[in-house]
Amino acid sequence: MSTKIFIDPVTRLEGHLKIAVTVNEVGGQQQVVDARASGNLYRGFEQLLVGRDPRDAQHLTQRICGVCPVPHGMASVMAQDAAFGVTAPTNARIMRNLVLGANFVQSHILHFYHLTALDYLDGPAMPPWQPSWKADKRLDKATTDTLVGHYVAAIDMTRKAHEMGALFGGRMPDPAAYIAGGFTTTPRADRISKYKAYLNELLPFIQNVYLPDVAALGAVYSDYNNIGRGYGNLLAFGVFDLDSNGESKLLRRGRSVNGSTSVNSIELNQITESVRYSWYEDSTTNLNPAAGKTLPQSPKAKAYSWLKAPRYSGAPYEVGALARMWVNGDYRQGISVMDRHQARAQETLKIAQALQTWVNQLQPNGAVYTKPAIPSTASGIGLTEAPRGALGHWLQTASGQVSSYQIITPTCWNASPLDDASQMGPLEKALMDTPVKDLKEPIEVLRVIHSFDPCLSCAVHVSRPNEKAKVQVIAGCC
Amino acid sequence: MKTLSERCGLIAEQRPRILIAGMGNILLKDDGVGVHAVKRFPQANGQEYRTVEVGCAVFDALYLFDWAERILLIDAMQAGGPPGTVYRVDSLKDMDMGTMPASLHEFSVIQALEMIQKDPRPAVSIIGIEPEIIDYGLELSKTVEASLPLVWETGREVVRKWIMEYENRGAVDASDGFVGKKPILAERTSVSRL
Repeated sequence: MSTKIFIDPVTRLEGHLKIAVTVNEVGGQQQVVDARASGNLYRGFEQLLVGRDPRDAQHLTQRICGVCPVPHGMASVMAQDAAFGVTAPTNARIMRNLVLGANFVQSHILHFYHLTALDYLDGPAMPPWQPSWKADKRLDKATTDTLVGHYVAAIDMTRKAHEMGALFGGRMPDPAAYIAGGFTTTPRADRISKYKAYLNELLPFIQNVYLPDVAALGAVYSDYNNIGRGYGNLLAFGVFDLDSNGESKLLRRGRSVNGSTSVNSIELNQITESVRYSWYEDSTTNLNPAAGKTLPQSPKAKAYSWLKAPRYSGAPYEVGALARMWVNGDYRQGISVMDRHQARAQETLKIAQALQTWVNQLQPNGAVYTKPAIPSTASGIGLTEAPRGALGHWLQTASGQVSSYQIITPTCWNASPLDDASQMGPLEKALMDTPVKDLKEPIEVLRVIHSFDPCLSCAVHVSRPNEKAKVQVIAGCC
Repeated sequence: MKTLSERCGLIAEQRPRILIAGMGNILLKDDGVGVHAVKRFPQANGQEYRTVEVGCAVFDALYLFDWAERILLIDAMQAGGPPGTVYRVDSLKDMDMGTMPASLHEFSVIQALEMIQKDPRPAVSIIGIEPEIIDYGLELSKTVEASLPLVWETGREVVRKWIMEYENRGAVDASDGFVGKKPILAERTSVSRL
């Protein structure tokens, strides 16, 4: 008998995601037979940028997300650099990478310990570990206690990764130092040595705590190497430019079809966004972002998400750490829930080691900024990677103001709804065939979702004494 | 495993280690009163206390809470009084734990303090201020702004109490028989003249 299960909101991710799966018995096993991912929050960033000075774009777009604002800053200044015809000096290119890299390290550690681990841990009897689902917790008490301790240690590590990025970025999140033509911080010797000191704490944690924890989890939950594959189409714009024209990157640009080991090129004109099942006017469907429009329409029959459905040559593609590491040839073990966590952890180490090399390449007295001449009409595209995957900003200006700004975020690729050809998005596809033991606690579904590290935002913090409390009143107001 | 503060390389200074933490969201006017109060808290003469503007970053401040032996939280608090009322709570047991957070954004400082692993946990007192306006804005309402001198004075009282208690720990209070008690008058007796 088929049952529909809603999870709304999906917790332990950034943003507002609702998942609906239909579960039925297939060949004696209860599993997912249909899935829909809904992005439930509309922000309107693309509209609010229109009419503004393009040089503010990196500050505004960074506010899209507090977990990974830096990639938006990077994509935005890359788009501006291309639009204004300016090349950032080497020092600036390196500092842009150092701050972005710090954000990657912070985000990946946070994702494993603070967003993912609780799918597998039955921790102490207090928040954030409880209340929690009890289904399928396999770790023994000793391992659980160790991981809980590592969860707390990881809070410290993420803070340090952010402090490290703030040395050059000015602050984290939302570093203000990204600017068209360069970077607004000088590579002073004291900043360099403090950055290295932070790396000397982060690297041992990644090598001796994070990576072993991921491996240990994968050993106990080895069945998850065969759950959540999805299409196996992987796409990366590439990130961490190693030269001034972006030809060479730490993680290269490319895509792989259906888990193939051969890597294909990316032609930007093959990217379109479908809106048939999204809350946007149908007349804007299947446009390339360079000609993209964002015209919300809600209600709309059949639509169920605020995310558009990005496609490459009409096909859905997964983005993220696994995609990057696969395309780069660094990880080819498989495509599954556990492979995503493995690849992410290995990528964290790869990036942290590269940061060590790059910080030593800074020239303390070298240039950090080339002032661009701003044409009144211009266009540029900034392609980079957020921790969660490929990110692109498409900028157009007219009369010195932004006339169009289209953004495709990684979670748009991953959590996309059906497209005009009724093909599922990557996450929806990955949920198909996932076994579900307990309809009330479909923990397997949650584990697949979290493996993608979805990111689709601050509450009032007023405290209250409880009813029986004796609260001493010092004085009333006058 | 080392405590967070040991891993951070923080050195114990003056005892007891007192942390004054300003809580709240400064983008929401009176919600951020704790941060405003701590920004302008009177300077310590020596190292009697550390102040920190935590704001909403409760997780990032965990290492400081772990370092402290006494924590004074300053925060907006709704306890039924008119706006600007200043409250004092000297036990976490008197505080509402709040609803279960569905997101790390909703994690309250009260819940975060439960994650401190060392034993004994730091003693916590809270100075609360009844908010008037919680809405977008960087300034405090006039009413809440006017409560700040009392907040600072109460805060210094709490700090003084903690320092005195620490200095007098283990001491025997021999003044108990006299201070504050009514004098014992001898009964009138007739004095016999010899």
